[in-house]
Parts: sequence; C-alpha cells; structure tokens
Amino acid sequence: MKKTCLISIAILLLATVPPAQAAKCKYEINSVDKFTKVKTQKTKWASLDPWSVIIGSDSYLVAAISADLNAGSKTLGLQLIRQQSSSYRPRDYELRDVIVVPEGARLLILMADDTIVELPALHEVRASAGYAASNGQQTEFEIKTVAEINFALDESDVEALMKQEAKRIRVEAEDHNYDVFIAEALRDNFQWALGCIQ
Amino acid sequence: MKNLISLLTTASILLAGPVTANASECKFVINEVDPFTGKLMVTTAWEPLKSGMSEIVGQAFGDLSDISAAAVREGEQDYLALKLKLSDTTGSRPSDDDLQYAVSVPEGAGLWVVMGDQTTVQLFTDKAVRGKTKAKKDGAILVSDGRYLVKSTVIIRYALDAAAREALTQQSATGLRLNLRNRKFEFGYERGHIDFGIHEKSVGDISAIIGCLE
Repeated sequence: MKKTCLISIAILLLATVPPAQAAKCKYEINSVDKFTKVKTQKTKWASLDPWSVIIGSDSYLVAAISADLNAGSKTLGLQLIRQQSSSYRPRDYELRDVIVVPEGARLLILMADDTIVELPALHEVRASAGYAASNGQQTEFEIKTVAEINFALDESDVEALMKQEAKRIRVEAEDHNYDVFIAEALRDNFQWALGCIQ
Repeated sequence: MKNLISLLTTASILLAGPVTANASECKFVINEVDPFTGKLMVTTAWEPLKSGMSEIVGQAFGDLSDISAAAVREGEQDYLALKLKLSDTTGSRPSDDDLQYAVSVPEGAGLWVVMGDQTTVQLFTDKAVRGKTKAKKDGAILVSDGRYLVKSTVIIRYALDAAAREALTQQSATGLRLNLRNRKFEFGYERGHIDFGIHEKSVGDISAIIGCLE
C-alpha cells in the first residue's frame, strides 16, 4: 500500500511539475496580483556573449536578454552594456545619449537555419553613461552605458524563436548597428527565456 | 580652384599615372556577406596619406595632424572614407558645445579630388545610404602653457558612383579639398576647407584602395 502510494505521488508530481527547462527558470519578477489575478513574469538576464564584443578601437559590448509576461502580453528585453575607457575625465556631452534606439527600431535575430526574426522596439530608449576613475591618480576612467530595450513579440515570433537556436543579433540603433555573435553554449537562451514565461 | 590644382599637382604630376591595385596587397577589416541584408560588405584597412604641400583655410580648424583613407562597399554602393585628425589650441577653456561640435561635415558636403592630369573628381557625402553624414567626433583637452589643446577625429564617407570610381582608379590622386564646418570657439560656426596635397610617397594610395573593391 505504501509503495503504491509513493508511485502515485511520483506520477502526480511528474504530471504537475513543469518541464526540466522550465524548472531551471530564474526570475526577477514572478507574481500574480491578488486583486486582478494578472500574472507578471520577468526572467533574469541571460547572457548572449560571455566575452565582450569589440566596437571600434576603444569600446566593448556585452548583451543579455530576458523574456517578460505582463497581463498575457509577451515582450523580449535586451540589455546592451557598452564599456569604454578614457585617458581624460569625460565631458558631459560625451556621456549623453550614448546608445539611442528609436521606437520601432528593429532587433534582427539570425536563427540557426539563417532565417531572420524581426522585432520592433516598443519605445524609444536614450541611454546615457556613467563613469568612474579606474586608478587613484584620476588619469584613467571607465565609462559604462546600460541600455534596456523592450521589443514586441507576437505568437509567430515566439514560435519561430522557440523552434531553433539563434546565432547572431543586430540592433539597429540611431547611429550604429550593434552586432552580437551569440556564443555557442548560449544559443538556446532565447528558448530558455521564452520557455519560462507561460 | 585653378590655383589649388596648380599648387597640389606641381610637385607630383610626374609621378601620377595609371594604378593597378595589387589584390595581394589589399588589407581588409571587413570582407563578408552581411547575413541580415545579404549585401557584400567590404572595408579596407585605413591607409595613412603622407602630407605634401597642404593648406587649411578657416582659422578655427587648427592643424591637420593625420589623414587616412579607406574604401568601403555596402552592397551596390561604394564609398571613399577619410579619417582626419585635427588639433587646435585656444586661450580659454572650450565649452562643451565647442567640443561637441568642434568639427562637423554638413550633409552633402563636397570633396574635390585633384587627379594627376589636373582634372578633378567631385564627391559628396551621401545621406541616403546611411541616414546621416558619418562623422565621429571626440575631443580631448590638455593644458599646455595656459592654453588648451583640442583634438578631434572626424570620419567622413563620400559616395562613389561608377564614373567616379573609374576616374579615381585610372590615375593617381595628387590632392584633396575637403569642405568642412567648424565651431570657432566663442564665435559660432565657421565654414572652411582643407587643401591637402598628397606626398609623392602616397600618390596612388587612393587609387589602390579603391581598386581593392574590385
């Protein structure tokens, strides 16, 4: 009787626990509003490149994604972090609007079969930089800009992104295309993030 | 313009002649088909142009310390890109606006290329392709004997059509006139230009890098 009970519990657990991938989900936000019963989820940022991408001679870029669910609507978040070094204290104008992504600007995602998924930016993003001295003599400065951009997702986008891995992305910013090659080991991160918002 | 041509070509006219790019000498920074657009993207390495007899017209531009050229292909469109490094000094601390707009290139700004046979090829910055004139600016200030040294780097891309490309590869360029716009410290904007005579050691470099696109 005890054995049968244990087997029943195990079957019940297998039936109710989400798939293995979803079990690894990590969230910044995962809540249900007590009054409206609206579910809100935002996954933790998942890196696309463990090593920085070099832009020009003095800038480095790292990128990460998150999937968001809000009142049944899904969006994809993209975090771009641009790092520069400077041999002089940066001026105000150099810190303003370092990354500008207009509303409607495209995120292009190159999939494993070379098809492209296009997502439009939901809102304009103008990201400015902060800086800090990297040595005591105040002769070297690190400049860092963080831009978080949200892109619209419809069901066909989700389906396309869940079907296969992504290998490269491009953000068409105002004055620059930000290209990121996705590391081999991280190419299923779109599937992971989207699989976590249900 | 006639004087400019004479000035720039006298020293190097004898050296000018047809140039054939040696493909094995071509160095590329980018040479791939863009997977997002399907366009062939080619950018050659920057080729420093040695300066011959040069003249800067417009007080606010200061000195031209370096000029380099590269050829760019984006799909069907070719460009000649020039990178200028300029420096200037001023007795008062430049404002942020002075620095931010230290050197700019108006949309549709022209470049005259003086060829070995004294003809000129005129090129323009092309907004239609990139959306805006490509000009990168960075300003640094150092204090030197109470004066401020301002350094600027500007990258300008000029569109090349088939006729211009052919003209530039048929013979060597001996001089350049670049039309620029500068914010003269405390006095608003000033238009001016740089006449750049290409040193005999660099005559043929522009033709060679454009030849690398073929």
